[in-house]
Amino acid sequence: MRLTGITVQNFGPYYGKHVIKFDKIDADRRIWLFQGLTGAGKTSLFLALIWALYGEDGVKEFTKRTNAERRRTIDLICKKAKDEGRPNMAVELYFEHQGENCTLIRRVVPKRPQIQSTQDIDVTVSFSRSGTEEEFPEEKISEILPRDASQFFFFDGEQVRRYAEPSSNETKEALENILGIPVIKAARDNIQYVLTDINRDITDIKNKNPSDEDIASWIRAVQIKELEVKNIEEKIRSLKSELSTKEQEREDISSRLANMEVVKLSMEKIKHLENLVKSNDESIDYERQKKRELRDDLPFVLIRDSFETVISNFKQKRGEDDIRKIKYTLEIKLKFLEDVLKNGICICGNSVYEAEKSAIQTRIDDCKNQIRNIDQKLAVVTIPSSEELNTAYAFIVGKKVNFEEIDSRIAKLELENANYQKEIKRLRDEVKSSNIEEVAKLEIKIEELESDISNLKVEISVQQRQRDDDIRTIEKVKTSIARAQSYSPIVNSLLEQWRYGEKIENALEYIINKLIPEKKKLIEIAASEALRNMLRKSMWTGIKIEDDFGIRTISQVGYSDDYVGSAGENEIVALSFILGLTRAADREAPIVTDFLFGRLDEEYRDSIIETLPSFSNQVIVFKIQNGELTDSQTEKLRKLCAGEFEIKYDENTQTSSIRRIS
Amino acid sequence: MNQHERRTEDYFENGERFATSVKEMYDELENAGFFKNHPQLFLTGLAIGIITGRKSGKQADTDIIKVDTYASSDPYGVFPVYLLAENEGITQKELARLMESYADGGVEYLYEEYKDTSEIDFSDLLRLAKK
Repeated sequence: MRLTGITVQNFGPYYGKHVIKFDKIDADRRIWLFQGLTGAGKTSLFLALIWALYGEDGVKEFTKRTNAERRRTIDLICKKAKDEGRPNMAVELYFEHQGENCTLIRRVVPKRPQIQSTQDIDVTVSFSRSGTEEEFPEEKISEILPRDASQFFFFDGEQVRRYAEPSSNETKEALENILGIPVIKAARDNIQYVLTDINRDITDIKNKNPSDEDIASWIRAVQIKELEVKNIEEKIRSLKSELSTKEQEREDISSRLANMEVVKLSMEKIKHLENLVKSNDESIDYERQKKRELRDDLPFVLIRDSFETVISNFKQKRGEDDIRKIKYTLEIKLKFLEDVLKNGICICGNSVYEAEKSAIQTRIDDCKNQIRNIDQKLAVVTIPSSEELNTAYAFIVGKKVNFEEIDSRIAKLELENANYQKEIKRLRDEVKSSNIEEVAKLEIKIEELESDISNLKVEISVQQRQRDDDIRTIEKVKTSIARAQSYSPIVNSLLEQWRYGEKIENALEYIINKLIPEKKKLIEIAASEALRNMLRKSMWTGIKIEDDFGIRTISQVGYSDDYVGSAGENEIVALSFILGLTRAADREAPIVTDFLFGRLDEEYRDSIIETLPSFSNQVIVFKIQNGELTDSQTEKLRKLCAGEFEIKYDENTQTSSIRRIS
Repeated sequence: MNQHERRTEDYFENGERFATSVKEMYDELENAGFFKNHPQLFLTGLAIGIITGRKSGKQADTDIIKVDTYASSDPYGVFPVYLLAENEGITQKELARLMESYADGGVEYLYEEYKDTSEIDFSDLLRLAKK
């Protein structure tokens, strides 16, 4: 940033418009000198520059540092302009930045000619780069030269000494600000906060859900259960195979018996009856299945009688007094009344008299109140409407369960089977009593086989039930495992975020731990060089910035325990420090100083004059006319100047003016 | 559906679930093959709880079915409407707690019958409702 011009309008003692131009500077001539007597308007011009860049807050900060009276924007407006009712104050800055021409204009827009308080004015700011106006001008200025950093570029010579005080908090803040440390630290703190948040989320999820060990133990349990199911199925297969063998054996014996002439007829009858029993068993199973399916409708059939009673009591109590119907009727009535009032015509087509209007309005209010009461009631409790009652009732009327019919059919089939079994037993007894040895043996064998078959069937059924139970358990545990595992991707994603966050945190930590010492080293080198140039005392050879950011001067035998210098020496040390700081900051901006030579003796003034050009590529010096420097020193300074301005205060008009004198 | 007509979901908050205090009875009655799933048993328990006037005194603490699952079995809100008519002025939260309490009462009734007789006679239940 290099200033090319300043225009000041109605600012402080500057009445009307004053234009200052800074021409292209030679490499050797980079100092611009503003001279004026005390009270001529030098500090006002300084403040104009700060106000243009940072507004009222910037001015307040500067005046706080210089212990001057703190000023609001309204106090900065030229008194004469205010008295004349034209308090249009503006400061325009023209500068080059990174090869582009920039214009910054801060302007007071009065809301009325006579202004008394801050409420009477608005302040506007505009910023353009290469002729194009940009949005967010304050942010743009902050990017070019942050307000915190500006204190090292725009300073009052009398006040800079505070930077040289041992362990000065200001020094620490200044250093951190100019190096951008607060921003990095804030970013690191934010990241740490986010990381804590992510950690808490991960812990929450882990606490609320089963641990990985739990899930692993469930998986093991499922594997064991699946193995058990496999074994049971193997056992069922073996039992079924045994059953099939036994059934085949019984079938063979039955066939042999059936073929024996003496019992042939009985055996045929038994066979026929057994078929009938089997067929009836199948029918019974079918009926039972049907009964199970009807169970979905059972609850509605169970409730039907009770429902009828309750609903009928409810309707009787409320009659047709349905709260929603009342509301609906009231709404129609309200609309009708509002139409009458709006159109001024009643239902018979006649005009409504004025006297009637208030009566209609009362009825409208009454309707609205009633509707509001109903709404309030409905918001708190639920009252079923006639339609809801009717719909629900219509739904259950359609539900039927014919358990009794099914039961009677089952009973009939079971009775038939009992009779068939009785007949089968009688026939078998008949066969047994035939007294034929072979038949008796076969019958006994059949009985044994049937007993075995029955036992096998029971065993198969027990095993099948066990298997089904185990399969159901496995399914349930698998569902739980799937649900628990579904949290893993969330946890993984959070862990990934955490890892990224940690990387950023480490990077920021690295910057803080590495950048600060490196920058400090740079500052020390530049500041030490400046100190050696400006300070003639050979006892100090350099400047050291401590870990606590205190400044110490280094002597030939090491650095001193505690730096105590004169006010002038402190100023030199502070200036050296500032010089080092502005170089380390990697920012290009003009150095603007006020009352730089005030406290220094002749020797130091000389050395500062010589060092001034190295401060920046543009140095603007405000100096008391015929003061601060001797004539020869002023002459020496002039030789380094690109231009010189004189600031004068006119007692008659009570205004200041600026004139270029060289 | 006209402006006054409502379905079961309208009585409850979105995402609400019915809970039970007798989850183990649900498992046992379903494993025994009397009921095919939780909604079927919940609805039957609710009906039996209402007709026998039996409410469970225990605190329902285990989620058993979602409201929208229940609503697919009772789309027109037969049971909510019944309980609202019988308990005029209750809030929707109270309605949900009342349904849970009756359903648990009904399930307990079925469970006791199953434990006593190893059977559940559904025709008997119908006769009970007629009384």
